[in-house]
Amino acid sequence: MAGREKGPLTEPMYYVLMSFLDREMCGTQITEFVEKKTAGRVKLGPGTLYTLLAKFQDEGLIAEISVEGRKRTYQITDRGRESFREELERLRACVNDGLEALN
Amino acid sequence: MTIKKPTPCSIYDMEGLQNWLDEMALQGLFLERISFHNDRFIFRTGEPRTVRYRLDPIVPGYNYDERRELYAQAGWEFADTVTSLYCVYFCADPTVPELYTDPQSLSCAVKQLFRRLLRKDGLFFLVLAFLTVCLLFVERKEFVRNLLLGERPLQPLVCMLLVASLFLAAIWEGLYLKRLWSVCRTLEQGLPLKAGRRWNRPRYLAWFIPLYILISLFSKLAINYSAETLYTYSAALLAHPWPTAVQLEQVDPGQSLNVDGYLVKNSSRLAPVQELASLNQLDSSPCPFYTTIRYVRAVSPGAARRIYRLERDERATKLDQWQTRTYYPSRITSLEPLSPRDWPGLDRLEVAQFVSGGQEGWTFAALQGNDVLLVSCTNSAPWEDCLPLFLEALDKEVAS
Repeated sequence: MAGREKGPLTEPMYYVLMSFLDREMCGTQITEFVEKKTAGRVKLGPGTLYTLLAKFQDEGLIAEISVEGRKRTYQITDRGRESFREELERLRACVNDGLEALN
Repeated sequence: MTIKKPTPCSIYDMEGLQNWLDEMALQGLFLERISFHNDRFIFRTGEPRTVRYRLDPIVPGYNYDERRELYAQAGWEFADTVTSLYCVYFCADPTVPELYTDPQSLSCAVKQLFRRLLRKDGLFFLVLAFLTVCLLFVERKEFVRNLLLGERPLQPLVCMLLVASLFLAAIWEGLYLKRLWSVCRTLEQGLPLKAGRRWNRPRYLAWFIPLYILISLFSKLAINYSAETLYTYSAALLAHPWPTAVQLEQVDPGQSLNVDGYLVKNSSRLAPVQELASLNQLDSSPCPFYTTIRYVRAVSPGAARRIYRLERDERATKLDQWQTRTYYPSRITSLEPLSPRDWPGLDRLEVAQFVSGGQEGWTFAALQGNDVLLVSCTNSAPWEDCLPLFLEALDKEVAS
C-alpha cells in the first residue's frame, strides 16, 4: 500500500504519527507521549495537535475508533504505518549520508 | 468597565491582530467580545499584565465546544469569535506552549480556511453576477431605451454603477483573500508572520458609510430623475407641421372643436423625441376622439432601427393592454395587431386597426432613414389616406 504522497513529515507530524504505533491514543495521551519521548524538546500546542489529527484523518493515516464525551480515540491505519516507515527510511538515509560525509 | 476600540488593521492580518490584542493586555485592556461586523473590539479593564492572544482558524467541521474544552485543558481559554474566520483564545501563563507550535500545522489550518472562504465568496459572487446578468437581460429593453431616448438618462448610469461596484467588491474581497494566501505561504515556508500596517481610524466606517449613503441617495434620485419636459397643447412647438384634425378628416370644416392635449419632449442627444397627444371633443358628439403622434429623430439609421423595434414592441404591448381596460372610452375591441405593410419610400411600416369607443381607429409605426414615427388616430380617414399627409409633413421642418 502506498504511503503519504505529500512530502516529508514535520517533526511534530512524525512524533504524532509515531505515538499511534503501539496502541490507540486520545489527544492528551499524544501530548504526554511526545513530551516524554522527546524529553520536552518537541512541544505540541493544542491547535497543532487537533489540526494534525484532522489532517491525518483526512489523509487516511489514522482512523477514529471511539468517542466518549469529548474524548476521541484514534488508531493508525495500514497507510499510516506505511507512511511512517517511508519517513523513517528517509530520515535513516539522511542520517547515513550525514555520517558518511562526516567520516 | 468596558472600552470599545475600532479594529486597527485588516482582520486577515493574523499577526497584526494578535500583536495588537497582546499590547492591549499590557495596557490593562482584556478582550471581552468582538462586534458582529468585526469592526469593534470590546475590552474590559483590569490590571495590566502579559496575556497572549492567538487566533485559531475556523476550518470546515470545526467543533466549537469540543475545541474550547480541549484547549482549556491545555491552558488556552476562549475569548470570542471573529465572525466565520477565527476563534480567539488567550493564555496568561507564559509556560504553556503556543496554540500552534508548528507553523506547518497553522499553515494547514489557514489553507483550509482560505479554501472555505474562496468557495463561499466565489459562490456568493457567482450567484450575484448571475442575478445581475438576469436582471440586465430582463431589463435590457428599458436599459437600451433609456440609453438612446434619455427619458430617464441616469437609469443606465445607475445600472452600470451597480455592476461596477459588484466587480469592485469582488476585487476588494480578492485582495483580502490574497493576503490570507500570503499568510499561508509564509507559514508553509516556516517563516515568521509579519504584521501589516495599522489603520489610523476605523476604516470601514470612514469609507463604507459615506459611500453607502452616497450610492443609495444617488440611485434613488437618479432612477426617479426624468429628462422629459411637458408643454401645454397651446404652447407646443412642433418639429414638423403635422396634419390637423380637419386634414385627417376627423371633423368637418366649420364644426366647433375643443382640443386639449400636451407635448412631451426629451433631451436626448442620440434620439430627440416629441410626443404630441390631443384629445378632441366635438360639441355635437358626446364621445371624444384622439390623435397621438410620437416622432423620434435618431442620430443614425442604426439607432433609428433599434428605436423602431423598441417603440413598435411597446405599442404592440399597449394595444394588447388596451383591450382589457375596464374604462369604456379607452378600451379597444376588434384589434387587428400590428402587421407589416409595403409603402414606397419607407424602410418599414406596420399597421394595426381597432375600434375604440365605438369609433374606428388605427395605429402605424413607420421607419424612414433616421426618422421613426408612430401615429394613433380614431374617427379619422383610413390610414392609407392619412399616411401621405404625415410623410409630407416629415419632409417639412418647422423653424425653431
